[in-house]
Amino acid sequence: MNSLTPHSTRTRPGKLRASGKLRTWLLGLGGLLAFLAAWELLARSGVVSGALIPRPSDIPGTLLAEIQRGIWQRMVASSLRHYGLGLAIGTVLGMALGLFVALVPILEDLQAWIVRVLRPIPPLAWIPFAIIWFGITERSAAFIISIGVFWINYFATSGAVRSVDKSLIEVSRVFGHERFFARLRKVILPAAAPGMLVGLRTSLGQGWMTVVAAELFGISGIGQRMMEASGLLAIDVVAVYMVTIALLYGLTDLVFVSIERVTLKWTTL
Amino acid sequence: MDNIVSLNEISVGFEPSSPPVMEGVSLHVDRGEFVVVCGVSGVGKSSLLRVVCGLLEPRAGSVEVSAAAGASGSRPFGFVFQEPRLFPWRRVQANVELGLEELDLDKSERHERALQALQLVGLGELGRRFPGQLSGGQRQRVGIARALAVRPSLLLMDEPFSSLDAVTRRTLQHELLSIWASTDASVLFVTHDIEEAAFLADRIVLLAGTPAHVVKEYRITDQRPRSTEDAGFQSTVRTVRADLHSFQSNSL
Repeated sequence: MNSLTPHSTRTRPGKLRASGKLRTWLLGLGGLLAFLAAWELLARSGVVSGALIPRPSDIPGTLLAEIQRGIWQRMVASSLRHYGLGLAIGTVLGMALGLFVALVPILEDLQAWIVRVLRPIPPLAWIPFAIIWFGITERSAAFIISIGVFWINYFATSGAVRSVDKSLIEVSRVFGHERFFARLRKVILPAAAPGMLVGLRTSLGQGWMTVVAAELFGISGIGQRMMEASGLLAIDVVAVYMVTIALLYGLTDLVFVSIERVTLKWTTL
Repeated sequence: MDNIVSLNEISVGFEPSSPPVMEGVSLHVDRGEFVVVCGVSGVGKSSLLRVVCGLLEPRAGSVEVSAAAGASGSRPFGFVFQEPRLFPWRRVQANVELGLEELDLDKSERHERALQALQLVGLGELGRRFPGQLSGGQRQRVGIARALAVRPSLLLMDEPFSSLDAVTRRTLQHELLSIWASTDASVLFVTHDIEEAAFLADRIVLLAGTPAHVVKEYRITDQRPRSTEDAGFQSTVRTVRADLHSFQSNSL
């Protein structure tokens, strides 16, 4: 039929896989470049007014100017503070309450309608309360961010804990782990960890989405700078900060995935 | 009598309002004895093991565990489940150490004991693997090592080989017998497989009926290792099978 030697049949799949990976990368990059090129052409062709969309080629220069004036660093640093604080508060509370509700059967029913009432309120709707409670402060921004993050972690954790394999809990009982906290630490939390981390990863993205909204009302940060710039119709500056958020999200997600790959190695076996 | 455990007139039911699934079951295991409880699927064999180790509260009757069981540094029971039930996030070594963590042992003793148990089941080299990296037979061996590591007075085994292929099953049955011979543990083994019972047991306890009860016991004195070719083995299997058929059909 064909003259493939055993050696070459063995190496082929590996090569195919490697080149497939490269192909995926190149296609992704190509798609992005084509998108930017189309955007640039559209902006230059005069079909759409230059005041309506910035040109991609303007962005590096504008970014450089923002950095040279020190504005970019200041805005990114303060948004990172809000983001970090909001993410931490929302995650800790969401995971803790989600765990609690999943472990205490009666709370399941008690929380049902509270959650149905509170859950659909968008983080932005809390801005008036944030201002009344915390004033125009960084704590206000962190509060707004923490709301979206909270719900994601609450649902992910309670779901993950509820679906822990009961037979493994039985194993730990049989082998002498009589105390609840021993079972929590040795079975429930490790078994629920993958599901809980999916929630955390989703909230990394959700957090960045609300950063801008949380800074709209005058708290220093990326969102505030974007509002300022849009007021002056400096759309290239707005675009610079949009790209900045995309990059910051990409970076946090990348860090998260590489940590997850080490700690949850067992899930991929 | 030198009993490790004795069950007296045990009844088991799940819903308080429903009739018991098992009634008036009395059973004892002597020191060093290999007892196999045999019966059809769903007759309550697993429940019996769960009653022995305290996972399931019987509706009536009592469980007596010998005072000698559970000396320091050991646990009265080691449990091998039908599925391996390993913790997938723990390496093999740490899985085997599970039952040692609540005993008064320091870290190096725990490590040493787990390694010995792994060597006993022939997996001394695989301690650093995760369960996901093992074959089905290897995982079941880890489950056996986990139970052996606590140096139990009584090893409870709930159809531990039923999900394995025939060759692996026979190998593990041989290994189990040699491990049993080299330790002073007693075994209470549950199976629906009459040949397996005849191959392993000092005594077969036949469970049948609704509610289930002990219908017959057989003491088997044939030399080990037994073979399916032996006349004694074949006659045991024939007798138990015939009895099981008649008791089951009576109760239907």
